[in-house]
Amino acid sequence: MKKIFAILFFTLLFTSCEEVIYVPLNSADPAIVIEGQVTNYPGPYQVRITTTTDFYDPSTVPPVNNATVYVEDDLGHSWYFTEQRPGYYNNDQFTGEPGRTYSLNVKVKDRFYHATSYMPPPVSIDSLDQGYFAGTRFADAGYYIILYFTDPPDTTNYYRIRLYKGDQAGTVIYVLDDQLMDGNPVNLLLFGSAYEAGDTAVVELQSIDEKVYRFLLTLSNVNASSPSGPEYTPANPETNLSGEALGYFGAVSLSRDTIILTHSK
Amino acid sequence: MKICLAYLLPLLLSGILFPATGSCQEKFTLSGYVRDKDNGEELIGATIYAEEVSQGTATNRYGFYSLTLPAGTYTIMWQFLGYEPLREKIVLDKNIRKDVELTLQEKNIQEVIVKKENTDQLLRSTEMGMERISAQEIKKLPVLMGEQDILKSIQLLPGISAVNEGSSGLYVRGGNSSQNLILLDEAPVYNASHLLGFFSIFNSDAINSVKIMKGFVSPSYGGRLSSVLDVKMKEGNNKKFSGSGGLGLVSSRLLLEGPYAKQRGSFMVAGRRTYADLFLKMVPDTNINRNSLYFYDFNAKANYRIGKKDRVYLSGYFGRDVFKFRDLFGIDWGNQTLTARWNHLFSNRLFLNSSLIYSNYNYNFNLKNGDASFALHSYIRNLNWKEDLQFYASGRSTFRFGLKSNYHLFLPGKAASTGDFPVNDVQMEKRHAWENAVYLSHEWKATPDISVRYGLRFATFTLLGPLHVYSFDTLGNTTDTTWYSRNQNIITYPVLDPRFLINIRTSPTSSLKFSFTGMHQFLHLLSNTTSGTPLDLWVPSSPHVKPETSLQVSGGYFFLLHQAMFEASVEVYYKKMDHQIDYKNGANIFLNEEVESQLVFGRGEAYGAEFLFRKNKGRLHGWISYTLSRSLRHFPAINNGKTYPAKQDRIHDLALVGIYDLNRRWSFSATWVYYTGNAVTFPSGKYIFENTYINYFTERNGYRTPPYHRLDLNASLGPKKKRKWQSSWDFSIYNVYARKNAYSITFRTKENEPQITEAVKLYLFSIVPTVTYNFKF
Repeated sequence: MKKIFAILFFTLLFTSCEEVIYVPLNSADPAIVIEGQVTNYPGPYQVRITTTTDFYDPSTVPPVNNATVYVEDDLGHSWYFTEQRPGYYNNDQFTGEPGRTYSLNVKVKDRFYHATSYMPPPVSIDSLDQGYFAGTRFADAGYYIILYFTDPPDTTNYYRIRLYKGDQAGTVIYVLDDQLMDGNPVNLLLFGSAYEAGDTAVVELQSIDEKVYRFLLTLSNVNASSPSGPEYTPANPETNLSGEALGYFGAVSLSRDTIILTHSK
Repeated sequence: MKICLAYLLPLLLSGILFPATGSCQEKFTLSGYVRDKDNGEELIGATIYAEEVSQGTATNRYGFYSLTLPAGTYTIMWQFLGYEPLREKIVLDKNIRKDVELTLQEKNIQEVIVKKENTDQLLRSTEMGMERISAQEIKKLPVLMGEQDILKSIQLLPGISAVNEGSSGLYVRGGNSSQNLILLDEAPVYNASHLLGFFSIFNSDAINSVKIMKGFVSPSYGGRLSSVLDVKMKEGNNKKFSGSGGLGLVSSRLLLEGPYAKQRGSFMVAGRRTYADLFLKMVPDTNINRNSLYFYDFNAKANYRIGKKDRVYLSGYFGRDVFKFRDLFGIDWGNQTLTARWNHLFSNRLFLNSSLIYSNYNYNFNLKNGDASFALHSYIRNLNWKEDLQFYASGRSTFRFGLKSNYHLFLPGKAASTGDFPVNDVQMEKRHAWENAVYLSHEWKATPDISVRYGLRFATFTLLGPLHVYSFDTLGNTTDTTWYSRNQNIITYPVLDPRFLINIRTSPTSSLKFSFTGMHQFLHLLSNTTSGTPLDLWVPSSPHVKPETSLQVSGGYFFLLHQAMFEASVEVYYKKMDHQIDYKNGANIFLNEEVESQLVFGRGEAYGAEFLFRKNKGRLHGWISYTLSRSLRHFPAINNGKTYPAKQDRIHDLALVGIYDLNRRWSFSATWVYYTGNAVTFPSGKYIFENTYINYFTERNGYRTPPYHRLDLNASLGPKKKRKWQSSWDFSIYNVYARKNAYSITFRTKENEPQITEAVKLYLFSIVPTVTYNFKF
């Protein structure tokens, strides 16, 4: 919020400008990055294992091959994931159930990585609506989605909202908790992702546990595609993985709804 | 610490028990006020010096002095920087009350012969790490957007640097900007900036004097770690009714002052407002012209003399920033202060100041969306009672002592919504705290060449109920809640701050000084921002948040060259800070009752060497200031417990200031500043998450932004002589060679080429010319 003020002030009053520059950056030793999800929708589920790379490196990130990957639930079932293509490990043998706790186990060259995640019950989307915004320097003109849902009372809930344009996932990370809105009907204008009339928008309301929420929240602070000013000190997101890995493993339950945007002003 | 106290106490006691009774000879006191001849303003820090015995004193913050000497005839010299000194033979055979008026110096068109006495105040004074900048100098310096700003001018002095480009926020000797105690007529100011720091709240027209203490701090001050910035408003001209003002490109100001009640009193009112928003209204684009963005401030002061011994003062400040973005959201914030004071002379040697002070900072934030709205409100208030006494025991010995009682009230946040805005109403618990302090200090000229100043400040800080106090485990989860009822003592922190300074005159043109200063800070600003945003959150010390502490030792060598044409100083310091505060990663401080769980604690150290070389006389005058320093932090929970540079770690900081007086009307000035880029956290790699790149960080503040440098020029055309309406013009160019200094550097994926990541520099100012018209009548 502070950042938005700062940017607004500057652009209203002063002639601030941007310029692409070259800043010499160190190259760090590659670190393991793991990203995996189990949902309440049928699989296949995917675990991706890659490593970090130099900031200015234009090639795709290096995959990690030949890892051992399996997921366990709190009833003792386990499912092994097989490498479909370099760095991508899949399994289509099970469907996640809300209320269960899942754990991910990865072994890469004698090093073990582990994470546990609880799948909360899904929260359904009440409805979707659209709103037109004329646009400013900070946001494109276009149609924006308004999401309506009702927060379940007396429990702590954490949410992530994912937006798709057709089957193309958006890059903006929306996360929220119900600290200030427990039990309320919620309407959210999903700023930052503009649509045109005729687009099909898919909205996914994900219920997540606290650790996944913390990961996504701290990740959204350092998202390379979001503008980061001098206003806070960046740091790596808080992961739920052990073994100094980056990334996360999440058991999430989701509900989906679709809206086709129409002309209206 | 025990050792220094053991040394201090006998010194202190000997001074109390034998004040001024060293000889049997009869003694008399010369006392009075030193004022400006033109407008009757008190001159603060003017020196009074008896040449025969090499003893002297200085006026206090109310312009009063008192000098007790054995009976005799003395040549007394009253002098003040920028004023013609006054020299007079005084036959001291009884107590004498002598109020003197000094005349402002004409511009030094011819080189003047500099008398030794004129500038060696630097060598004699028992101050250290103290900077004062004269109003005449400030007026001639280049400015950004036509606003003279004392906070920006003092950034040109060693050890003091700007928080950011164009910012009025200060880093002093490696401390952060919330560790400066900013006082406006003794009232604490919590947010000294307008428009996110581009202007300070100090309207330069309304200011009498500014003093910043960055090393030795007198025991009469306490409560912040880094520095004390003491700003005093003008009293108002008590000779005649007059006014002054100016028209600038972004703001205008007007000041009126004059005497009343047959010159028994005088008043001053000053106002200032920006009008950038009026230009916005002219823009046809409805996206822009419905926004508003402005600030105004208002200073008022009046005083009244009751007889020769009493004087009362009332002063106030009211300022507000308003920012509205269409009808969608608005925010406004500001400080209000009110100070009532009574000066009383018990005798010509005992001076009392009593003050009652109220200070308030608050903000309002509003969001609106159709029928739905959300409003957030927060304030920090305090009520402050102070008694300060000065006892001028002899020409060699002065005691200062007093007490202070300060009640703090905080509303961290109150949120209310209407319509279908999906946020519950929240009223955070108010915080109540009571801060008390007593102090005693003694200034003693032990020998003609050695002066000492030492003292103690004892303070307590008590957090009071009603309040729920939470306990946290190491992960920040709440483990317990305790309820404290109204006025119940939750926790009390007693602290003792020792202060010591010694000045050894090593030769007629040089002196050596050494000091140490202990400080505590009970109020903590939770902000990881650099620009002093209005939504700052202050928290009081509590069972979980200990008072911040610092101990600074410093030494300095001061000398005059070429018959005091030049003055120079070198100061070195080392400062150790404890119980420093930072956020956890991804901390939630917004309307969070358990905000203390979001904090981490650590320690810091700062050290450096400061060089100042000044030419005070002649057509060309100015100074060179260079600081070589480090400021480091050590937090177990940050950077894997490894020491890292604080964001205010500026290794090199250089300022060149030159002023050239061409003739009576024209003067030109140039300033050039250079400093090491900010310590920042840049990525040392990247990785993929879903379909975007995420930056990978390996260390805190391990990189630097490119060095900052900038040249500013100014030309001032002064008024024609002997006119009733005097007008003057200032022409300034900020950033003459248009260097694109980085305000921030960010890293992102290239638009339309998500495979490519790039670094982007944001810069705020290119070349900015301004013209300001000033008038005086």
